[in-house]
Amino acid sequence: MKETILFDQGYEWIYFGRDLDKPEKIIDTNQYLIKDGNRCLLLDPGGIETFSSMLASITRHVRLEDISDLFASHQDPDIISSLRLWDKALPHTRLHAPWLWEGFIRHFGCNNIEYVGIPDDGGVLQLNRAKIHFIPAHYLHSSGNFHIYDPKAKLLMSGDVGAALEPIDSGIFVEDFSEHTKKMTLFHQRWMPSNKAKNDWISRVRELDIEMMAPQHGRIFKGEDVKRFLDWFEELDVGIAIKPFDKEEAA
Amino acid sequence: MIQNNHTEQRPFFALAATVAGTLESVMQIAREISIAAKNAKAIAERAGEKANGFRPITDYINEIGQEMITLVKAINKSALKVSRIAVDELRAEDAYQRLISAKAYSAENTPESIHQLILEATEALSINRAALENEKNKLIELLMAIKIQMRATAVISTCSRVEATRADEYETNLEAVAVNVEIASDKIKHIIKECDDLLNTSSVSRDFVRNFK
Repeated sequence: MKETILFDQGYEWIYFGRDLDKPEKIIDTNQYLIKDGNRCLLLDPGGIETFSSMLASITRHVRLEDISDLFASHQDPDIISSLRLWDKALPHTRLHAPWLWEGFIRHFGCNNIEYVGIPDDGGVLQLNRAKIHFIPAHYLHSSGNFHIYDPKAKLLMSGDVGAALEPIDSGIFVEDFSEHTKKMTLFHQRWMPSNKAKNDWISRVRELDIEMMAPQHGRIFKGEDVKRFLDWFEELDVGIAIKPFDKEEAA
Repeated sequence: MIQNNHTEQRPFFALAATVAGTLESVMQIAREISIAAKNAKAIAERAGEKANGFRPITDYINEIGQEMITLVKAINKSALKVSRIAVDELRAEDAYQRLISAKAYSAENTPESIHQLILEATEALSINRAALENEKNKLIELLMAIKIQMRATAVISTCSRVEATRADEYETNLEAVAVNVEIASDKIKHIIKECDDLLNTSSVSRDFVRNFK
């Protein structure tokens, strides 16, 4: 699994992904760790199949007992189906996830970890030095969905927003934005259901000071590419699986 | 990164993954040994005849560094595989337990299909355990190999010190190389020891560690 330090000023943001050992048909996922002394937060820890390599990777950076908190942006299996394994490996931790999904996420197995439901309006989590904000991103794509914003690191972990489907050996950062849009278009058109939700999110995110936008699949956006992404996303029509209703055909 | 006494409650699949992660740092130290060998070689070249005894040792140090990198890669891969199989075992056990519960629900009217599924689950579990045992044994052999290499490194370090004393004005430089190799070797021994301790904390792995020792 590849890893890169994204931020290192008093605490660290570490990227993990491009797991070459994962089964071929499983989508590649990006995981992030905020390393902050004995209050470390693991973001979207991933699925069962990537659990072992993920665990081995994080132990290169932190002691397991220092992982005090987990975050699941939403309920998908590639985000948190490994919960039962984390529940055994890190029974002392708390899982911050949308309140809406508690009864569903618990199906993955959550006997020891404390489930802390994030209210619809979001909230704040103070680690040691890092203070992170849960940013509502409902319907992007899940009906209960959050992103994480760190004002000091100027980093937005944007879940499935900004995701791209790419080969496992791809780079970690976006290098040619217009080329990259080809790998994002269908993903966003099909997985994101609501233009209204999309535009609401864009208007709120434009208010944030962001240097890096880090999605859960694909590449990380830096600097001007963040604004380019927001402009591109604003123009994109999403929810394309719904065909216009044809009255004649229905009759 | 080495864990503390919380590891006692940690399941085996987590410990194996931790070992893989911990050993990654040995890779860096092995690279340092290779760099030390290259430095030593350059010094020995400069020293000419005065370092005649030292020159062949530098090739040996380099060889050990390279072999260690290969070994650590293999150990990482093996430990990760052990962890994955242990995860599979947990899942297979889950499936088995749930089928047993399903049988209990249906009491004496258990359909044949559930009996068949239990048989299959038992077989899957047994195959999985055999695979885990097999991979654990491979890991034991690899850890043993790295320990043997550590012993060889200690011998080389001693020889280096002896040869350094014959290199006149280059003695200090060559002595420093020997010290660097020794320090790197100590660090590796320390990490291997910690990996032993980690595995030793798991009840599942007791036999595994006992065999290793």
